[in-house]
Amino acid sequence: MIIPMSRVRLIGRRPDLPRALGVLQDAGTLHLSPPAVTVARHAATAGERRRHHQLARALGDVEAALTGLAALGATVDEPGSAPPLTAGRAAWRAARVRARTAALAAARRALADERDALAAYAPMFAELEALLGGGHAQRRFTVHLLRLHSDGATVRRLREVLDRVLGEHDLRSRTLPGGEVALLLLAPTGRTADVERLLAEAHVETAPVPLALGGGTLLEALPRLRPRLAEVERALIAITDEAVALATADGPLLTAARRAFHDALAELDARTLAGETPRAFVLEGWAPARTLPTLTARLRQTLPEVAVAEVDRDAWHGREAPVVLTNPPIFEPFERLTAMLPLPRYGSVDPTPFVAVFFPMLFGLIVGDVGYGALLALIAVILWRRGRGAAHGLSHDLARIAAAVASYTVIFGFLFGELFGDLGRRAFGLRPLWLDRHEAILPFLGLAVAIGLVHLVLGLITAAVARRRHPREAAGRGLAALMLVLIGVTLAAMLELLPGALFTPTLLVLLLALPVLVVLEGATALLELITTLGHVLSYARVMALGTASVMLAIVANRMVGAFGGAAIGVLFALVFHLVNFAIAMFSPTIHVLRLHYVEFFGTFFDPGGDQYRPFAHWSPDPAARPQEV
Amino acid sequence: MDVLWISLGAALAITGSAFATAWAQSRIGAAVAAALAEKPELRTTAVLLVAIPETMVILGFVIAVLIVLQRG
Repeated sequence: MIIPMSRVRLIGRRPDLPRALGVLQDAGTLHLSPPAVTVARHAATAGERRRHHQLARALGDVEAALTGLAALGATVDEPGSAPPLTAGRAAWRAARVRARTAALAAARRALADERDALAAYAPMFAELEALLGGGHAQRRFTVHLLRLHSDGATVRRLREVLDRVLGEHDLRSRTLPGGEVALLLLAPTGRTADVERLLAEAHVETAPVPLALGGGTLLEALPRLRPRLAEVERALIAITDEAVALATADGPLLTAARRAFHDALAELDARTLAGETPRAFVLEGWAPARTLPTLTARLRQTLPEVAVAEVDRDAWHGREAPVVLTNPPIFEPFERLTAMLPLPRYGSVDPTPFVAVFFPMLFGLIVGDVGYGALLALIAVILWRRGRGAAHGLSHDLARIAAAVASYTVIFGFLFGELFGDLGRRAFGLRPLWLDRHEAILPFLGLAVAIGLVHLVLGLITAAVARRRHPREAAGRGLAALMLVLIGVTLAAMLELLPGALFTPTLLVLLLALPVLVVLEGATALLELITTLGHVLSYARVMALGTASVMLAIVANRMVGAFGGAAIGVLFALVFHLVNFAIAMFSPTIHVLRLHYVEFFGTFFDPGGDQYRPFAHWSPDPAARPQEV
Repeated sequence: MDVLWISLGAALAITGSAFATAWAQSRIGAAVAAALAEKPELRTTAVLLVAIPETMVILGFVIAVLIVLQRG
């Protein structure tokens, strides 16, 4: 639901404006807006503009310095009681931290590159040590480190040629992490010229000894590899330690400055929303109605000279008020689905509870399979475990949506007697408790369209209730809902699903209602009614997708035994079930969302509401910033 | 002969609507990809726009099912 708001007006002496804003910022519940009374808006003075510019620049510097520290893995604690810095002092301090973090980041990048390069050589160097320890006399052999960009066949050909030409030699190969093949060749020293010629003919590149090892030959570089790697690791740790020390020394001051600058900028921006006369100021805004007594008491206690009053409800239009949604915990995760569209306007209806009921139900009706429902429940558990610790995080909310969807999928699975298609029926004797979707295609179509009719009638009734302040519109929506029901009854009577005696009276009432609807809502109401009927038919997709889902599952099961061996058939069936499950996750989600956004919301949803953003102290955690009170 | 015409009718219902959906989605998809490159916040609208022409193939499928069931 949308939280009821109250419009509040504060009037006081002009010099008290900063103090009044300070109290409002501490309270953190008033969404400021330009005053509706005809007074001039506060024009920023030259001093205020200069201060705004200084604060914005200093804030940019501080943010950049904190980002630099975070990039080095140094966690900056939020300030406890760090003394506030002036903009100039903070900018100087931030510049110092930025310069140091930039130098540390550059050094860390260089060291990390060197470590990666050395680590790539390490396995080959280990091979070389093994070779040298294997009885080869160092003086008689020359070591060649080679690098290939090709596959094992090239290595085999090279080995054959070396066997043929050189005779005594040792060649070892290893695939490097990047996919290249590194080769280590130990060949007689006297045959070096032959080796180099052979390698040149075979287009094999000789790998250079890493520069970090001081150049020289491979044998000379070998003893320096491990000490250098250890040295690099120590240097990297030293960089992290220095970053942590920097964060400990300057971090709290910078975070305190960030918070203070955000607050000061917000306060300067808020001043521009105030109305002013030569002697007085006026501030207006919205606060959730239930917080109004607390806010008023606080203002009267702190600033008794400032007059605080609630603006009469008839003096403001609902469309001006900001919107904040609140729903019971069971519906809350579904706010993520409604948040994909603009907020509803104040005074209209929050569609979240409807989505929370109908989204899982329609999804379950489409997929309707105990096996797929169990897999969905498994996904819900995984998401829940991943989201542990963040009660309103994305994973947590998705887990709760997945759990609701899984429950309906399992319930409809039992009603349709489906467990991985007809596997439950064939293996465990599972029987449909209500409807066999495999056979009863037409009844399933009727069910889908009937659900669409109920869904849209509910939407029209909701629209009528929401527009109760405008009796003509409310009556029009209500009449459209009634006509939709009558059309359903007429068609059902015509198809002999209901007693045929109902046909004539319902048709007569329909014919009488038609001109009334035109009088209430204009000629376009006819077009809207026809569009709504089209929307009812659109729910046939529930049957189409559901039938396709069950048919694909049955086809998957028939693969067992259709491909020679049972094992291959089972493998194919599993793969096909996996594909069907993936489709069953994606397609119904899109189509059920579409049924909500296009068909259902079209009957009552009034988008375009402003997000409620109370004037409050800044917080580094966006979720902690007051959006809802 | 009836079976032939019924099957052909069902096949035409699904083929025609599938081609129409494919054509519409190809045009919408290209336009939506271009729009998303400039305004990623339009993703919900993009999904809806791409999903809208699927109504044709879904209704085509329903008509095809009705035609086939007419036979029996």
